[in-house]
Amino acid sequence: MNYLIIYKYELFLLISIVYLVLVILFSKILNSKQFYIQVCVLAMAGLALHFLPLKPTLLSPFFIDSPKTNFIKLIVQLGTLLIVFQSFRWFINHEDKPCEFYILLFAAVLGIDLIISANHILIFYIALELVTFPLILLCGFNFRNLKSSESALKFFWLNALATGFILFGLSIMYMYKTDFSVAAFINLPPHYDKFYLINFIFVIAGISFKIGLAPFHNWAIDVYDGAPTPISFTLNTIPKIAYLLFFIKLVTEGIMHTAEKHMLLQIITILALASITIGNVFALRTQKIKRFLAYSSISQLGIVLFGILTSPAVANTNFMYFMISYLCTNFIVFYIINKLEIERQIQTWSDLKSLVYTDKFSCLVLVIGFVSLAGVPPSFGFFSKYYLILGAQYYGKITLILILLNLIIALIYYFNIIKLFFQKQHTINELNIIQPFYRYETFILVISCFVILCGGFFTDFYVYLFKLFS
Amino acid sequence: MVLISILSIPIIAIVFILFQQSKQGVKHVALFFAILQLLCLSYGIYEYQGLNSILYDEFQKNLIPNLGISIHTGINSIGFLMLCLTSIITISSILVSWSFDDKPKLYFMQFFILNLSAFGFFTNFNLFVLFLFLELAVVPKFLLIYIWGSGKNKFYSMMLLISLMLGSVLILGGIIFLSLQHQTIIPDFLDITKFRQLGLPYLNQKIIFFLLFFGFSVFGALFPFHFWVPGAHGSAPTAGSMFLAGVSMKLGSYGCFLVVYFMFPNVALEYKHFFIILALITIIYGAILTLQQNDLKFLNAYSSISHCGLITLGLFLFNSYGLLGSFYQLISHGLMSGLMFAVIGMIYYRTHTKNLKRLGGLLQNIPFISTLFILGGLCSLGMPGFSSFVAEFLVLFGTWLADNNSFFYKMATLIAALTLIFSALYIIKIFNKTVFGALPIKFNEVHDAYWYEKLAGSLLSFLLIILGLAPQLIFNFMEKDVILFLNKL
Repeated sequence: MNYLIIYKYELFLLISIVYLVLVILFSKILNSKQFYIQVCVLAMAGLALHFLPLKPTLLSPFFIDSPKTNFIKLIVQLGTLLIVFQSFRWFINHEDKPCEFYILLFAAVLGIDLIISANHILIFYIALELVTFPLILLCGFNFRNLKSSESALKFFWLNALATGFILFGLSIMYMYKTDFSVAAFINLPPHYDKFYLINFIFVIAGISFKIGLAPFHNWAIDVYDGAPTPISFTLNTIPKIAYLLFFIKLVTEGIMHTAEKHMLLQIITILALASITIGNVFALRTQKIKRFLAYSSISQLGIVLFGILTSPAVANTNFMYFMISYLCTNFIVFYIINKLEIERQIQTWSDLKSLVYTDKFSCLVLVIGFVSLAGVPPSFGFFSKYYLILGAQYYGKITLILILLNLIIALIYYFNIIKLFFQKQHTINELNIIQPFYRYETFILVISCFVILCGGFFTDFYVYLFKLFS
Repeated sequence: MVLISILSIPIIAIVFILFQQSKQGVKHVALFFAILQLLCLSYGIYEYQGLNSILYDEFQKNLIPNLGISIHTGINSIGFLMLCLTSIITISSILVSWSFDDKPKLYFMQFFILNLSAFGFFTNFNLFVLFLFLELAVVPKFLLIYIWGSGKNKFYSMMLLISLMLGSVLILGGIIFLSLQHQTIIPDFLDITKFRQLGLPYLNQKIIFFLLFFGFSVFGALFPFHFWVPGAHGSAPTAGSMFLAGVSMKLGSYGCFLVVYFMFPNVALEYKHFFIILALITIIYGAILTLQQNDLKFLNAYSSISHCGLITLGLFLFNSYGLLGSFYQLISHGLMSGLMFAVIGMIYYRTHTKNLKRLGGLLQNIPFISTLFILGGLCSLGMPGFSSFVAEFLVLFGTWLADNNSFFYKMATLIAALTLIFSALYIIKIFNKTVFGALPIKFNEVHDAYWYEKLAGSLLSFLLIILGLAPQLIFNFMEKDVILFLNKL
């Protein structure tokens, strides 16, 4: 029992998956209120696991369990809960196979948890695949829609390519080492030549592909556009936590200590600058809602990439702090977009003209979300970006100026949309049937808005995170 | 306790307004809380006069030591005066918009956010917290102009947003540069009262000084950064422009004062001629542009730019006359522009035009409003007996006395004194074209001021005259602090 408790999240997710399979086979509660409540309870029970007593760190060759991974998995669980809430709204109009949806979702989360805890390259690689395959199926989940299938196919082909890159990079290690732990991969062997650094470059390229950073971002736009909105939200948030954590480990513990670090760090800086700029400039001209959100998230992640070029403790702290704000903000934005999409079949932002006259609450929530995404103080988004920029050490003054200029561009496109919401409309379209919010929805949205508006002022939380990661 | 209560009153007011059902109830709640805030503040002033401490209600706490983020609050005498100004402007702008019916809930909520931002800004001494409070007001300002504005408000609201963000990016750049230069030596290195202990290299001090000063002067409308002011003030709703000109611009000037006197006096002393020239350009350029305007609101906005130049001029003289005049101008201009915008709003509400060419003879039909207009105009002109005369006189006197052997200061005094002529020109012009002359027939039916407008207008004009006749009240109150600031240099 003591041995099993270190696998608590993974075991719990496995049990949930098995339970849901049994529900498909034997139960008749599918698509009823009861079923959704059960899914919700499963997702919430995952949060409670955090409070189980923590055993002293076990030195397993395959698996790490520490307060840090425990906390990160808590955030991933929280993200899962938010996704589950979003999907409820989606299933009101798409009554197909909800049980399979949650099985696939939990499988992907299992993969994410495994990446976070992986201490062996093999586990890492298997977990990587375990994240990708359920997500491919989920992208095509809206199978009556051609675009959804297209996005699934694109996701499949292009991520296979990215995985190929990563695998090639990892395989170079075989030429130098007999030890395949993650630490051995990151720390350089005593005698290495420059050829060994190619594996770093391939792994960086592969992971950037999976995250969707600038030169490798084109797949992300189409996939986000086609996938069901809860899945766009999923792709946008929790897998990126896992990938970026591995990236941070690679950069802060490995690349920073190589003799050729300037070349490698320059590559990362270029990736980051390109992401910020391309994301912002394309978002300026994009009218389609989900493509816009994809571009804006690319530019957000560019800033993250800057912030992690520092010591491991600071990088992890700032990254997790950012990810919490990013999760909350994206949640409310995608939630409202999801609801409005089901209600009015909107495609572009101009369909949301004068939203304030038809749906006040949605408008308010969207404005709060955009203000935080744009990084306007004193929202949570500003604090997280500020800490990221302050934490970073490896950039010149020109890069800093470019980042600050990009903040202004970001502001322009977010506020262009906010302007649309407040445009005066003389005839209100009668066809806009407004579905009321359920009470639980209002509750969750209000709490998220509160976190976004006031989260930055709880500075003790930042200090707690810093202590946790150092 | 006073500080906590005056900072929490806007938040409580927002919550109360959120749950109000009727449109009239919103206004009652807003007025109640605004007056409550003023009462708390008066109690604070009463208590402060008995004490000898420099900062009233001082409180310090480190929040994130390695990033320099801490809390340092307290109110000095200048702070008290600025808080009183904010409170009075809030009350009068709520009174002016008593008959306002277009989404009043959202409108008054944004008002209290603006109020909170000003109150936080005047009571905090940590650079990061100051920045947060400064930025808190940007989105409400944008929405105020965008939703309730008139004319080309869509364009000007975006312009306001972008230019204010440019200013805040400059300040943010300064803060980031400072933090990167200076890590983990003093846990609260962003606290501006302890700034001199840091001992930064002189070159870095210069860079940070220019970033911060220009950032704040975007908010305070110094010459190269004044371009957003006329559009924003001209197209905002009445109460919005009262608050923008009366308080929000003062945040920028007060920030400049903090940068110059608390943080980098040595850099400021080195470059003082440059900034005096900028201030002179602001004064003259603003006044010349004012002469060419035909829209009442734009006219007043340009004259605000000109008057705010005097504040900057006073700051860089580094003598007690200049500094006193500068603070006096902060308060006097806040009240004066509040009154002017309120009256222009009243005229616009009745005649539906702000254009000088279509107005005339209003004194025959709406004597009370016209009288208020004349009082505000005379104050803007610098008439003895009004508060702005004291301020302008002090600043000019300070400029003349700044350096007896310097030709530069004598010329500066002469150029700055030109503003008196220019302001007389444009004020007499608008008097002739609005309140005097023949009354167009279509304005025969208009109603004179309602009770709430009378109350707001009388309050502001009464204060203007009191401050003009008895400046000693204010001087005695802030004398100690001004001498302290100058001794610290």
